Amino acid sequence: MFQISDLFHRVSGWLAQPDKNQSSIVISSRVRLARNLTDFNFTNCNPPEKQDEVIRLIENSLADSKLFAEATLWRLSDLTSVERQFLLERQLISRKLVMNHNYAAVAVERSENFSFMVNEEDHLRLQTIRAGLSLGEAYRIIDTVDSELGDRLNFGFSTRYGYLTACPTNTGTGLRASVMVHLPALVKSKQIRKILPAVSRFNLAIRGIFGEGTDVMGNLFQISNQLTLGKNELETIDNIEQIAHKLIGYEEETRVLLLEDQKRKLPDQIWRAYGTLKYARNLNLTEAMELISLIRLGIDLGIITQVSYSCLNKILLFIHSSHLLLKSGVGSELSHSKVNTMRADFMREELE
Amino acid sequence: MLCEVCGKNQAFIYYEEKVKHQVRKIHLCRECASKEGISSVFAESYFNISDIITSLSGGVKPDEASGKQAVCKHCGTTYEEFIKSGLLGCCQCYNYLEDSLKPLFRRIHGSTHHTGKAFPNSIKPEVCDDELVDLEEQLKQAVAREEFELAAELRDRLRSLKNQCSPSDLAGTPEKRNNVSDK
Repeated sequence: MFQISDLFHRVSGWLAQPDKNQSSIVISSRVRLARNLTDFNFTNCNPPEKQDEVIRLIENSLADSKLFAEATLWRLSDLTSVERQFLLERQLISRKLVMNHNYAAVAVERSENFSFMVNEEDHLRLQTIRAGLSLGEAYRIIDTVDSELGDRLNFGFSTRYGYLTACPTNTGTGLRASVMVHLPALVKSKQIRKILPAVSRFNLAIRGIFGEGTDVMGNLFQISNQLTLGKNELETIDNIEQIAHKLIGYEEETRVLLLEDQKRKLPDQIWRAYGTLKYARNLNLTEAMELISLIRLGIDLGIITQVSYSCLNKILLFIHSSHLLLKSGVGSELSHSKVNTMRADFMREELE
Repeated sequence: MLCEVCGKNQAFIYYEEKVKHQVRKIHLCRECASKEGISSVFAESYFNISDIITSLSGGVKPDEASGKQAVCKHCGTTYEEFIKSGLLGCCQCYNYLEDSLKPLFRRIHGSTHHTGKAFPNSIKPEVCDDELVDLEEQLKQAVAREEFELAAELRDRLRSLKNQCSPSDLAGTPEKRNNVSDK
């Protein structure tokens, strides 16, 4: 057993140990499986007392298992709203789970190697996140967790449709695999506009967060599969990995061209970003993400050597408001401007 | 531009998502974005998947001719409710609403058959016949339309399914073992 407060000061296990052999362009790989218990209605049709029963059943199934010895289950109703937001920022729970916080739970393995949500859209959403491009490894971990739970629980499954899920877009494997990619050169050169439609042609979804203007916030994109029926788990993962490799190739080529074209301008931009992050007194999330993106590019290009990837990954997690609050022992929400000051203070400490 | 959620504040985030050739865009203010978790680097999809279901199921109208409403006898979810929410009510919905769901699966996934990991406690071969007939029909149609790439894929699936359903495979199940030992 461990407490949620054990997580407040440390980086997620997967972020702490980035694989050095992998390209830094792929930040993380995530795999999730959707499962339902055959004896209960799906969450949206399951009355509160039955949802409680689902939690109890799953909690009991964790006992007497070596694999789950280091996992702890928390009911969301026992957590504060800042703590729930913290788990959300850490990708351990979803917004949908927070919306059902009276009847939902999350189980987390101590090193965050895997976790699962209880009473999300499906009774169980198992997930694992790894650093870099490691969907295969991520799937192996979650497959083991799934099999262990499957020995103890009765999952809804049909030979024809596979794993039965509340939403038909997950039916079959129940697998959603995704990679988070950092594509600053493709965004800067506007090549991204040509590439995005090409990716979606492979039955993959691509998501970006756009800040003010047309640039993507932090130049981060998430690519995930859309099909779960008729394609097996390894085919699905292989499909995404192939596209990820292509994107890495395009991004690397474009970086070379960009650096040739902007021999003075690009390093100047990168150093200015470093200066701002190191000395600013007030930073909002969008600006911080943009600056971090430039510094990551600077490390990749060998321009910045003072900052390590692990430091940058820590920053990427702790710039979120609930992480900043809980790390400083503040248990309730503060105004945007106060959080912006805390964010700048944190950044100066880290880059010291 | 004003936030499309609250309609009050100035929008500051423009969120775009491409799914199945459809681009969805939304402008949000800082407050709504953070409420929806979009301010997080790792934000999940803002758009409810039921939007996609609703748009994909546009042409699928169950029991139109008979005028009957498809309903799950186990949990009471009707096909209409499913189309509105994008969510089924229980595992039995897959049986009771199957006729309406099948065309939807074809549109969403381009397939109506699971090929991945199998839950160990399930009994494997019972639906093979049904699947074989379905695949043979699809194969016939593909050949007629001269879609040979698809036909080859269907032929391979048919072949692997036939292997799965063959008596040698059944030897693993308890009933079959009993039969064998009886001989």
